[in-house]
Amino acid sequence: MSDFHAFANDEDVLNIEGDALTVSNGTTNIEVAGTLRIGKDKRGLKAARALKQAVDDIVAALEREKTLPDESKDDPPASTGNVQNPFV
Amino acid sequence: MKKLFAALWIAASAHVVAAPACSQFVPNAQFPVLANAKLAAKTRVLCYSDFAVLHSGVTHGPLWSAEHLTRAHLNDAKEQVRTNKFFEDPTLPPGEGATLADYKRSGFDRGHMSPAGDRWNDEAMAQSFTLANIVPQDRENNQHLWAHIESAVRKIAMRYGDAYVVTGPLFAGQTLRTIGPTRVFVPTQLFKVVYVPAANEAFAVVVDNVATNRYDVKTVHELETMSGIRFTGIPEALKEQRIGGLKGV
Repeated sequence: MSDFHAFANDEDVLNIEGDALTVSNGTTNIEVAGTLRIGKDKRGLKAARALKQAVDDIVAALEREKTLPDESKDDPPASTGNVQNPFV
Repeated sequence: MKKLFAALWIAASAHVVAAPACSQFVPNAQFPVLANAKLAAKTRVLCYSDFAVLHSGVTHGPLWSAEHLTRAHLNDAKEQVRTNKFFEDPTLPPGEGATLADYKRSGFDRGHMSPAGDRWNDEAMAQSFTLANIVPQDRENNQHLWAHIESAVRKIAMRYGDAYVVTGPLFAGQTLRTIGPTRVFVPTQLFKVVYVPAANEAFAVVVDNVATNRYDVKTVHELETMSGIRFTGIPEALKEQRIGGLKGV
């Protein structure tokens, strides 16, 4: 878990309980997706700790920023292309 | 080195032999067969530790990804907590595989075919993030409908003890969208074929690659016609079966 560094790259994904909950890293956005059921058991504690560690890291990274805008704009999407379907 | 050699050998013989190193992930050790010969250009079988992929250097992604789900392995998979990393497959010749840059700001999710949540050990889970197992998938679709379908299939395997699953993209229509400098094909639809030996049951589901909550149940024969892929490991007698739907989706 300690190898998840908030906003460090666009490739890392923290998987909690398989892919029940995923925290997808990004240099401009981090995405948390899924549904995690945290049981009152050891497995639940392990999952909760992983989630806490990730969120703590995100908060710390944001707090380190000297000037945070109220809301950052999304990067414009890259252009997509078209191709003749070679399989028909 | 041995591993590399094995991968090369498998790549070279994808159309010749039907049983490279990872045939345990498909029923009766029979890989899906490309009935539409146009799909076959630049394809190679890639073997990973608990799933197998047929990669296309034309679409720059998988044509199918096969896995064998078992109750024991799924129980292990549920425990997995780890950080993974999407990566470009080093075994593919330059230009055949998608790159990380292709997906950046593409507006699409990097959608797993064999899902990360089915992987039962660290190595397998890390491997499932190869871009060879990934297609550009609508974000809403991936995070909601598709996640529910994956979960429903897991429940079937848990209930009956095991299931063989093949997941892949469909490319319909005259013109296809692409993303990134490599021009990775965006699938128009996604499919899953599920064969449950203990239930003597086989079925397929198809979803459009858009933000939707709708999925269509197909017979295996119908999917074979749509995809141009034959699922030879599934008993012919089961290919006309039609299930009512998936629980919880």
